[in-house]
Amino acid sequence: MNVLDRIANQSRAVGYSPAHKVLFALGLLFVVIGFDKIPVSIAAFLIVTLFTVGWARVSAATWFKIMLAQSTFLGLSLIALLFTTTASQPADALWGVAMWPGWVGVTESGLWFLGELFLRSVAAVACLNFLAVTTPMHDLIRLAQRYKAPELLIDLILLTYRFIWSLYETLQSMRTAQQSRLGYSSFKVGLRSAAQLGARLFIRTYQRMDALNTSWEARLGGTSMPIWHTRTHQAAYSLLVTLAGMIVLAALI
Amino acid sequence: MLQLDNITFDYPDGTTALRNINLTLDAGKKIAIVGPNGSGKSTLMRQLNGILQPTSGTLSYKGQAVDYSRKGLQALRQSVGLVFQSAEDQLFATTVEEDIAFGPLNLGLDRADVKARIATVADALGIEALLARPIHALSGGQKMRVAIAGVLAMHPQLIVADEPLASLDMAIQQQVLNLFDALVQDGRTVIIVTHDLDQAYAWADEVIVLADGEVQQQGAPEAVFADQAILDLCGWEKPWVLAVSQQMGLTPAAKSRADLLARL
Ligand SMILES: Nc1ncnc2c1ncn2[C@@H]1O[C@H](COP(=O)(O)OP(=O)(O)OP(=O)(O)O)[C@@H](O)[C@H]1O
Ligand SMILES: [Mg+2]
Repeated sequence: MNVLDRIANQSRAVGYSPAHKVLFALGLLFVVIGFDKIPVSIAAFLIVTLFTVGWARVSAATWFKIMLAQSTFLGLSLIALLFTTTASQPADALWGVAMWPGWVGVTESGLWFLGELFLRSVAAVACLNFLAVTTPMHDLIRLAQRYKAPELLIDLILLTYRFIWSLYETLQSMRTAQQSRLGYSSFKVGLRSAAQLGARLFIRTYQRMDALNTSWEARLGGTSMPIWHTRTHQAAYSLLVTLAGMIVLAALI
Repeated sequence: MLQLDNITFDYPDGTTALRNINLTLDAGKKIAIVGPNGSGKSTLMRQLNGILQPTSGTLSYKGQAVDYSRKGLQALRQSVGLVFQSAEDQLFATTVEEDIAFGPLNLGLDRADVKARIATVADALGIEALLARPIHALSGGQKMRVAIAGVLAMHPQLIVADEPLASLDMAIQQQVLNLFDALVQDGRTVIIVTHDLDQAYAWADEVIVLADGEVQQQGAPEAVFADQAILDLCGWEKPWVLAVSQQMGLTPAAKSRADLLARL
C-alpha cells in the first residue's frame, strides 16, 4: 500500500480524472473477464502496460516488478490445475499415469485452458494495478463520496487508510529503534524483539485510535467526515476512447 | 474568559494529575504554561475544552459553568481550540487541505468561506505549497504546522497549544509566535505549553508554573522567574535575558534579547 500510493502520487496521471481512470480500469477488467479470449487478454495487458508506462510515466521497471511478483503468485496457485483426471487416458494426453480408478496427467486441452486462465488473470490484475499506480487512495475515496457511496463505508475506508499509515509509521520507527539497540543481532534475540514489537504495536494502536478520536471531537467532528474536494482533474479521454475501441474489437474477434 | 475553580482531576488508574487548580485566563492575553515533565500540563490543557471532565471543581466560560452535555461541549469547543502535543495523532484526513477544512466544515460554513479560511491560515503558516500533499508525506514540523492551521481555521476565541514550537525550526517558531501575537492583538487569548523558559519569558504576558499537579505561581514573567524558590523547586535556571538584566541592574528588566542588546 505504502509503495503503490507513493508511485501513484508521483505519476503523471495523478492530475487526470479519477473517474475516467476507474472507468477505464474496471471497463477493461470486464472486457477481459467477459470476452474470455486469449487475444483479448493479451491486448488488454499490452494496452494497460502502454498507458501505465507511456501515459502515466510510471517506470517500466517498477511496473514489471509489480506484475512479475503477482504473476508468480498467480502461477503458483494455478499449478494444481495443471493436472486433469479422467476415467481413461484422453487422446490429447501429453504425460500421465494410469491410476485406479482412472487416469491422472497433463493434457493438451488442459494446458490451453490453463494458459488462457493464467493470461486472463494476469490481464485482470494488470487492470487493477493500473488503477493502483495512477490513482492515490484519497482520490478513490473522494470519488466514492461524490457518487454517494454509503457514508459508513467511506468513513471506515478513510479511517482504515489513515490508520494503516499510522501503524506503518509506528512499526517502522519502533523497528528502527530496536535495530539501533541491536534488537535483531541474532535469531533468538530477533524473535524476542519481534514479539515485543507485536505486543507494543497492539497497545500503541489502541492509544493512537483513542488520540485520533479525541482530536476528532476537539474539532467538532460529527458522525462522518465532511466532504471536501477541490483538486480539479483533467479529463482523460484517451482512456475512454481506448476502452470503447477495445470493446468493439473484442466483440469482433 | 475561562475560569477554573478548585479543579482536581484523577486518571482512571488513580493517578492524581491535577490538585485544586484555581486559574483565571483572561481575554487578550499571551499565556505560557511551564512545568517539569509529568507536572500535569497536558492534563490541564485537556480540561480547557472539556476533553477531560474534572473529578471535582468547576470550569466556567464567560462566567457560566460549562455544561458537559453534547451540546454544551460543542459550544465550548467552538470557543476553545486545542493543538495537541503529538501532531501525528491529530491529523486524520488524507490530504493537508482536507484536514484544515475539517473544522470549518463542521462549523457549517459554506465552501467559499472554508476556502478563504484555508488560504488565510496556509499563508500565515507558510504551508501553501503543501496543501495537496498527503499527510503521511510530511515532516514532523510540517505536520505540527498543519495541526495548528486546522485549529486556527476554526477561529476560536482561545487557542491552547501543547508544545507547538518544540518541533519547529527557529525561523518558523518566530513566524508562529508572530501569528499568535496578531491573534492576541485581535482580542483573542493564546495559551502555549512550553519547556523553553527563555521563550516563555520573552513572549508571554503571563506565566503559569505547574508542578506536581498544582499551580505554583501565576503572574508576569519578570516576577515569576525572579522567584528563586520556584526555580529551585523545578530545578531551573533563570531565563538568561532576565539574569543578565538583574546582574546589570536594569529596571525594568529587559524583555527580550533585542531589548537587552539595545540597552547595553
Ligand atoms: N492516561 C493516563 N493515565 C494515567 N496517568 C496518566 C495518564 N496520562 C498522564 N498521566 C499521569 O498524569 C501526570 C500528568 O501528566 P501530563 O501528561 O499532564 O504531564 P505534562 O506536564 O504534560 O508532562 P510533559 O512535559 O512530559 O508533557 C503524570 O504523572 C502522568 O504520569
Ligand atoms: Mg505534556
